[in-house]
Amino acid sequence: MDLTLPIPTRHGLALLLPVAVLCTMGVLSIQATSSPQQGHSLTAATMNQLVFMGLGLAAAAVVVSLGYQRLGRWSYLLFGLCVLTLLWLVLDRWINLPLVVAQRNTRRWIRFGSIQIQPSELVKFIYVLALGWYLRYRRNYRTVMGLVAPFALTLVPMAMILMQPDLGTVLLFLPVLFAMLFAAGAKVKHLLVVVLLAVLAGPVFWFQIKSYQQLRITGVLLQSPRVRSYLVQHPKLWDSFRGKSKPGSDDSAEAMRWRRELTDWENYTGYQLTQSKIAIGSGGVSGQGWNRGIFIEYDFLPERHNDFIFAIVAHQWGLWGGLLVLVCYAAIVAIGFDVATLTNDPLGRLVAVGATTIIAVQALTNLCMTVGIGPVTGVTLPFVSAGGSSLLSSFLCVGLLISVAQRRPMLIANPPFVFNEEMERYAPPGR
Amino acid sequence: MFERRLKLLLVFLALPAAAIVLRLVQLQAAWGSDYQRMAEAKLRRPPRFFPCLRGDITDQQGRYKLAYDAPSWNICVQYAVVAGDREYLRGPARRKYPQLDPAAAEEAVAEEIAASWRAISALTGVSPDDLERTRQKIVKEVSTVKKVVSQRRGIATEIAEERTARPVVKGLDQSQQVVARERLKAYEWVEVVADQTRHYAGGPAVGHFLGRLGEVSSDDLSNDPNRDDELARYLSGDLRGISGVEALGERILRGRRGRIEEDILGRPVPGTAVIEPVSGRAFRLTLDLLLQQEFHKLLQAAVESSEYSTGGAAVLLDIPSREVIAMVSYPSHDPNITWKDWLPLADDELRQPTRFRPLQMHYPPGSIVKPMLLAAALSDGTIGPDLRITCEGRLFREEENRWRCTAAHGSIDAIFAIQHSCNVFFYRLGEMMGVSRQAWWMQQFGFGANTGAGLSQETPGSLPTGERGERGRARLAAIGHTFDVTPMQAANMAATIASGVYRPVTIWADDPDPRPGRKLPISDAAWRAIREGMFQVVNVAGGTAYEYARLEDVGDYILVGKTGSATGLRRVVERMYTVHFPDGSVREEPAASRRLIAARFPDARIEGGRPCRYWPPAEIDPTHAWFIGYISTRQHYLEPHNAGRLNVAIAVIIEYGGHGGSGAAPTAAEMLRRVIARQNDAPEARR
Repeated sequence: MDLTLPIPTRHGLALLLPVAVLCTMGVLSIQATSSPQQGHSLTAATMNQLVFMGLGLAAAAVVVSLGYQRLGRWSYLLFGLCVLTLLWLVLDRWINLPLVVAQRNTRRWIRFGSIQIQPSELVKFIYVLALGWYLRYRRNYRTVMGLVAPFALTLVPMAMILMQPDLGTVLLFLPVLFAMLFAAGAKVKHLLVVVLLAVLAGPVFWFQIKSYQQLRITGVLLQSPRVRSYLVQHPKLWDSFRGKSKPGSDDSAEAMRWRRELTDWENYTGYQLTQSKIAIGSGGVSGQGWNRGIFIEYDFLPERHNDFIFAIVAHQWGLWGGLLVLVCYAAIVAIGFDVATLTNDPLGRLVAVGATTIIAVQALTNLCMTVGIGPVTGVTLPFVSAGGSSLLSSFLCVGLLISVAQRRPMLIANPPFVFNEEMERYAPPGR
Repeated sequence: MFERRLKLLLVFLALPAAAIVLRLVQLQAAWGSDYQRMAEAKLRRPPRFFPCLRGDITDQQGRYKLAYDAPSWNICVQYAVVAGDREYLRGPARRKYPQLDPAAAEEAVAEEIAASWRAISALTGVSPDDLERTRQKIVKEVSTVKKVVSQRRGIATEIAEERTARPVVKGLDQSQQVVARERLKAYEWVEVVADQTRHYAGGPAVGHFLGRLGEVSSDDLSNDPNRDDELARYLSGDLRGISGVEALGERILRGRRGRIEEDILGRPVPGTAVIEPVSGRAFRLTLDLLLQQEFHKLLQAAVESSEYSTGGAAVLLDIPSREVIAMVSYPSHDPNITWKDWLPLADDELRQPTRFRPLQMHYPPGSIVKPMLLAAALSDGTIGPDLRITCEGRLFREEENRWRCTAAHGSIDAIFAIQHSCNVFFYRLGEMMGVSRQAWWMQQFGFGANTGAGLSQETPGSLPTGERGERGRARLAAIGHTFDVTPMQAANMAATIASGVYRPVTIWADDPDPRPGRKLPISDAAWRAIREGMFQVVNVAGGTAYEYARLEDVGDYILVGKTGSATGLRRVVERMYTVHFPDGSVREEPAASRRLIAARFPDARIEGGRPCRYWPPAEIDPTHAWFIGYISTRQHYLEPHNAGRLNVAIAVIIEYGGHGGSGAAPTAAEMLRRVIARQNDAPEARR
């Protein structure tokens, strides 16, 4: 088996720069928000993050060494393994299985000795490879029947992760699928049908999810006091909106709790979002400075080192810090798409688009949540948030991108997926 | 194709990114300072308030404090323990018995809690049953508040009262609190907390009118004039005066609480000053405490020496200002009386020790209204100054026992009629005036209305009523029957006669806005006539008080006055109740009040309440003894009083004391001797 040396090319190096910036900001924020250990200048959380960064880099190096093409060949097998792991987690709901870590009625983690991994994070990476492997042939994405397989490929892990439950990760699959199909050149009308189906399935999905998940999603609307007071005055609307009737009689404890979602939103389900906005806003333009500020000193913001780490970044480094984070992701997306255009290998193109989309969509979902323009879902901020699995999967994606950038075939043929939609014929490059 | 689609994808991704950038600019640049403030506010605790002392109630000199706040201590127990919440056990159990298993540790803590209740009981002498009652009361109160708050907010809310220690025993003194701290320190849920207790001094002489404090009601909170002043407004649980002088002087007595703002670490918030509490101002009464106490003693002696008397009252007014120098009621009780001791007193229907007679009780005035009506009739021109009327001991020769007089006075003039208190003269005068004219004049003298003292117990009494031409009622009104006055109104009438000016009375020495007097439309000649009559009552042989109230031993001063013997109602001291027992049997039971009979038969239904025993007994006339008057001098008694001399008017009533001359006049004279003596001791005593 021939291995490629994991030496990044120009693109690869360019990619590692924004990643390094993001990781640094993440580590500094984690260091600031976690309690220091005795006798060490670094906190346990920081050490953990650094270790996983090293592991992530190593994993990326492994990916580069193996090469995305080989991984692509193995992808169905790996995907199968992942689905089995997810199934293991799902089955634990009914049968008590070993290795599963159940936490607050969720089952997301598998424990090997002292290491915990989150299979759903790895599935994302394998999923991109498997989908790319499937879509590399044109017949697979230009016909309706060809689209059945990618959807099956998507819905199986989605359903299983939904049962963990991990709403944030679930919602990541559809944009990736859409982006890869779109990039591969699926017919727009097919894609529109898909989008339409998703929109129609929305309400069904809405009334299936748990009450607290509904409330987290509606936080975008409920953060406006005007909306809340309107709903307080129209309790029927609120009840039907949530698709459930108010439990118990008017003055029962449950009914009071039901109303409290509105009247005391800021201290209840809206607490995290409210705190997040205060943390970001109080950062101002220039920020409070590293390791300074009220939200560093006091743990007012739950999950501040994790899902809501961007609030801490913006609190410390202000508007400039926040913009720097966005610029870094923009750079990653730009380089990722550049890598995709520069290769001629269909699998490489798809994998590059998929890996880039995963990082971009996660970042956007997380940022929208943190600043209060998107629903609250438990999606981490790639490279910044504390958390080993998230970091690992992000680095795996980077590894894929570097690998694609390294294996650029010679320009001897027409690039794939470049054809005239009407003529169904290959168009010359550069059009 | 591929590049174009990638560009489209870029656009898809750029749209939310642009939204995020705009949002960041909005949050951090546009609203940054607002959020900065909100973040800083998170570090502040809600401001804490210090309690302030309530002002003193003092006598006129400001020398004697009749009511004051004194430091005291309360034993407080955490609400969770008071409520018997098992959840609470967990914390102390973990801290105190880490080695035991949780259930056993909690059991041990529960034992300790029981022991702490026993210790509190042993320490303070409060019986375990009383503690238990207090406990239930606290739980009931807190859950009521919780319910109200929850209903208002629409959500189940934890209220502050649930998280704090609630007082279970109040009013420990210095030595008790030291011992309590020491003995209870093992129990972390028990605290000894500093507080103030209101103390009342002055004894039974001031028993009724100082009033008491009670917790503010929701009405007080919503009608609070200081609503917008967070240092002065009422907070739930605050005490305010709910009766007597405490209520009257609430605005003066109430202080301003102090305020401190601290951050969550207990450091003062920079830029905010600590505001010290301001104690309430003193509320200075017009009373002379020493006179008040002497009056009380004299009144007590008079009432106790009278065979059928159930009580009495006396009021001393400063004539120019109408300040109340003394107002006493007998029987009385200590002003510090507790509710528990007060209730049986309230059931004493015979002596009625809980009622403040000078203002709260009203009696037919009897003959003391005669001078007033004479002056009115003379001024109106209803009668001429030379009118003579023949008294044959009764009004109608043919009706032996109706419309009687004290004696057959013969042909008499107005002054003689006053001196001898001739009823026949005044029957005629009443006929001539008519009821409504009499009532109008009585109103001018302040009858039938509150006197202005401002105490909530006050009753206005009543005015005579009757149709035009109802001669009987007119005659009775003219000798002071068919209507009631309070002793305060009677004293004010005496002061009005002395000065020619009606003015509301006051008990607040520092009233910044005293109510003005009103000169009555009565001619000088009429005033002189009645003053001459009242002079003769006391100082000329044959006057009704000549034997009883001459002030011959006090130099220049003389007493000008009028006696009254008013036939009152007999007092119902026992009623017959029909008691329906649950088993169907019915029995008649006598009792002093419905409350008492209900307490005796808690399960029975009680009906009726027919009076069955009266006081005084049937063979004794129910006659109240009145005396009103004022101090003057032989040279000046015909003139209206001027400031600078001893200007005091008095009214004394001895319930069922018999004739006014023998029953009330000696007491009044003795009281005035004390006033004169006090004036001679300390001529500058009054301003």
